[in-house]
Amino acid sequence: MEHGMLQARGLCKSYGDNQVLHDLDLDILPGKIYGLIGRNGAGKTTLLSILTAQNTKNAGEVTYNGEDVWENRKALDDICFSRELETTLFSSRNNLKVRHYLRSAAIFYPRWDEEYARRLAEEFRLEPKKRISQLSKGQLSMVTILIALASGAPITILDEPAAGLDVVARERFYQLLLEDYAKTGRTFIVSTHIIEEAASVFENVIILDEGRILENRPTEELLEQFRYVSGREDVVEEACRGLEVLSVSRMGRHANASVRGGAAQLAALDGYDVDVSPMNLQNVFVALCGHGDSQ
Amino acid sequence: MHGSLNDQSLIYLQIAQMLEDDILRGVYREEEQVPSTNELARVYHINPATAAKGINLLVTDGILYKRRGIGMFVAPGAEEAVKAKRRAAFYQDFIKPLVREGKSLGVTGEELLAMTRRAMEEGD
Amino acid sequence: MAKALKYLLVTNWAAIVFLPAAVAVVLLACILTGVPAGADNLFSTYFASMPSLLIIVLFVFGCTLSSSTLHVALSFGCRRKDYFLALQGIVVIYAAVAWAIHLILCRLPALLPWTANFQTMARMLNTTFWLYPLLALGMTFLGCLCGLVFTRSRRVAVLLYALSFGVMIGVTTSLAIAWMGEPNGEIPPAQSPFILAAAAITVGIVILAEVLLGRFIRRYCVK
Repeated sequence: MEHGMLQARGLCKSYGDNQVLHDLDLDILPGKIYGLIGRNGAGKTTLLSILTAQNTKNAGEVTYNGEDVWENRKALDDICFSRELETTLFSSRNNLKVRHYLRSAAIFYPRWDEEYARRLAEEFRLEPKKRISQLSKGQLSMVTILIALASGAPITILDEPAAGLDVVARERFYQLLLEDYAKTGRTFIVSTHIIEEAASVFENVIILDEGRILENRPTEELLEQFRYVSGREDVVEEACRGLEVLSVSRMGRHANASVRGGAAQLAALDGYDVDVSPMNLQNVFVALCGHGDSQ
Repeated sequence: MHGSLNDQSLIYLQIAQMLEDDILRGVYREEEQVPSTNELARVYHINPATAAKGINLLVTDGILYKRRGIGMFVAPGAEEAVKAKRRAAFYQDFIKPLVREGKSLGVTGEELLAMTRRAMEEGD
Repeated sequence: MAKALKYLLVTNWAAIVFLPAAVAVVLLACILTGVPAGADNLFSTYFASMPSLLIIVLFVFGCTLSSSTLHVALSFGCRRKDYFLALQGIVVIYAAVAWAIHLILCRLPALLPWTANFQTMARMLNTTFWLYPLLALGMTFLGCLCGLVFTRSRRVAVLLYALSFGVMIGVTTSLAIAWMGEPNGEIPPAQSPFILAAAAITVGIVILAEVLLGRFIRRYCVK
């Protein structure tokens, strides 16, 4: 599916005195599955709502194909932001019926696939007559997923789609996502807490920490830079000399360090009597965003 | 991530290794088609781009080749190519760690060679 | 704009149908209880106050129209401008339906003919041709505004509700005063100062509501 790039430059957003996004730059290249990971309160939903022109910004610009997204019909037609649904709407129960909610989605998304939506609703066992306030957590997530997939939008953004699902349902979600991606090649941005399961699905990963983008690169490129180095603490210390040490945990004279470095520097670790093992995405994320909380 | 993939090494490397192992085991013979990137992605719940990277690695090494419009096929002489590739890495991947481990345990050179000979005899 | 209008129509068609349906039920009840022959009962009161009741109903519909639809529409990628324009469309539809009903109700007793003669608010609002639809528009817009403000700040919304009813009472009082100046039961001329005052207030309300609505919608954030 041919479409353009979504770009943000110098994005700032504050709620009152609290600055949520700090001078943020982001490029979303078309045709990839992006994972957006970050702690609670890092600003993921805020960032996504600003990228999709549903929320206002204090500074910076967001463009799609070079044009500002705000009130831009072409951009809004090409973007779907499927949010976490809540059972309450403005502190009263959300009494919209599922059927009506889906019909509303069908009205707004120009590429909506009704047949696909019906099949998914059947598979997810969503009762169309039920009200949103009556849905379980899992079913709420399924509605989010259904809308995102059936929208057919060239840039489809899912905010915590797997949050309410059990592990079997989550596996099915990744499968559906990959199937759709294989068929359409559209751009997906999936924001999630459940990092390790989803890591292999993401081609690129965006790490958001306290309103700043720490990383935006191919998942494998990121993982290649990180290692655990463990052994006797003095040997570990020497071995890690040329590397960036993110954290070290000790048990007596045993030390386990999380390190980051280039290929050559990491290769040099072979010369020392230490155990070197890879870090998965979740480990990398905790190392980068843990801020020594648990230390 | 699904099935036999783990997080001990990069996924695309594991994909390449799996296909190589299958070629050695005779699962895919010369001129036979191997699974497409989409199929691999579907079965293992990984991004198609990752699967493609693994396959491209094997194409670069001359183990697979592409038939336009059809898919990826096992190249002639692939089995030998895989063995040659692994043989070249054998020293780095197996021998050196073996020696290093032996050293840290205080195993002497003669003991190591004796053990190796015994293992070779037992293997028969 | 078309998508937004379709969305508003699809989510609120029940309200649009309710108006003539409710009136038809009251009419039926009137006929069954002998109102045309001069009976003075519950239903004759309903019939007489129908036009002003409709205005109040429009206000309530205005509230429910906007309170959830803006949020949902924006989260599905609707442009704010499109929503604002679509809102105009549907409010006009509401007002037009109410106006049509009002015209029919006013002509009905004379047309059929019914012996009873309703010297009530119904005829007050029939004073000048353009006053009723104007009032219908104004109150619906006010309702929309109240509904939207309610999602942000309940306190301000309650104030607005109170203000709206105050306005409505003010306008109808103005009309009543105009009527009292016509002892023969004739329809007061449009030039009567009270009529003009009522009209001016209503036009002011419509303009104010539109401006505030536009501002509110433009600044609304779906967090």
